[in-house]
Amino acid sequence: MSFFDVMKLSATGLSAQRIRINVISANLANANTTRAENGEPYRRKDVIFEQVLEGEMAGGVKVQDVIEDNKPFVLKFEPGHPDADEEGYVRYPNVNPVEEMVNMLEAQRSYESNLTVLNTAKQLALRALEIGRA
Amino acid sequence: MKFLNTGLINDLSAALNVSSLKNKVIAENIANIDTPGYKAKNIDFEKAMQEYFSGGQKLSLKTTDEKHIRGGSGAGFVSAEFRNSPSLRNDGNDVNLDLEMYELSANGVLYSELSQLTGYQFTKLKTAITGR
Repeated sequence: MSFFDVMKLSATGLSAQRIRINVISANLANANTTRAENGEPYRRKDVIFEQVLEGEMAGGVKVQDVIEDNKPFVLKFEPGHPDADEEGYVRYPNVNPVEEMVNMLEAQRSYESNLTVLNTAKQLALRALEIGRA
Repeated sequence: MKFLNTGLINDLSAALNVSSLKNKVIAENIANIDTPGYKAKNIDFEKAMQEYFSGGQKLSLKTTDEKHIRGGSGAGFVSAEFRNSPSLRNDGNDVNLDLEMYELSANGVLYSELSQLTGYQFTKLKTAITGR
């Protein structure tokens, strides 16, 4: 029973990191989107993780919210652009591709760590099954 | 069933219990590696076993009331403690991934060792029963 709990727990970590990677890929894909749904440029999104408490020791992690980054938009001087204002500046999304790539690597490593734990738990469970086999 | 209740098998199953709980705590730490404010927990295997042996070698669930049912094979003597390691991160999270991965593999080896020993106890019983 306990090992299934561990595997479930690691799976919550896997899914949380996967959501994070989804958000990062949305940020990168929209790095140059000057018109999002509301007519504004695209705003960078970020995930907030939260610990899940179940009893004394079990639990896991979940994505509590996806928030929008309030950093200012990047202004570029492009008078020919259809979204340019009167002075010729275009507001580009507040996405920094370098930051996103670093975030992505971090999420990837966290995902791998959770995967390692999951595999270890599986191996231990199989090991426990071998007790009676002799 | 006196022969199945030998002390060693009980002790080994208690140790297996501690080891699997430790695995769970490590999994929780790693799952929460990016959770702001999360504090890493730890189960000290040796301390837990010392508590088990000092507690009259009886496994019981922690109960808050005398009328509660006491489980036969729970691991009530195990409690997770906060690691309280210094955190260098701005979000207050103090999970140390290298330490956790080390603990994970060390605990895995320990568990295999214990399960092999337990299996060996049953093999001995089988030899005694069949004479082969």
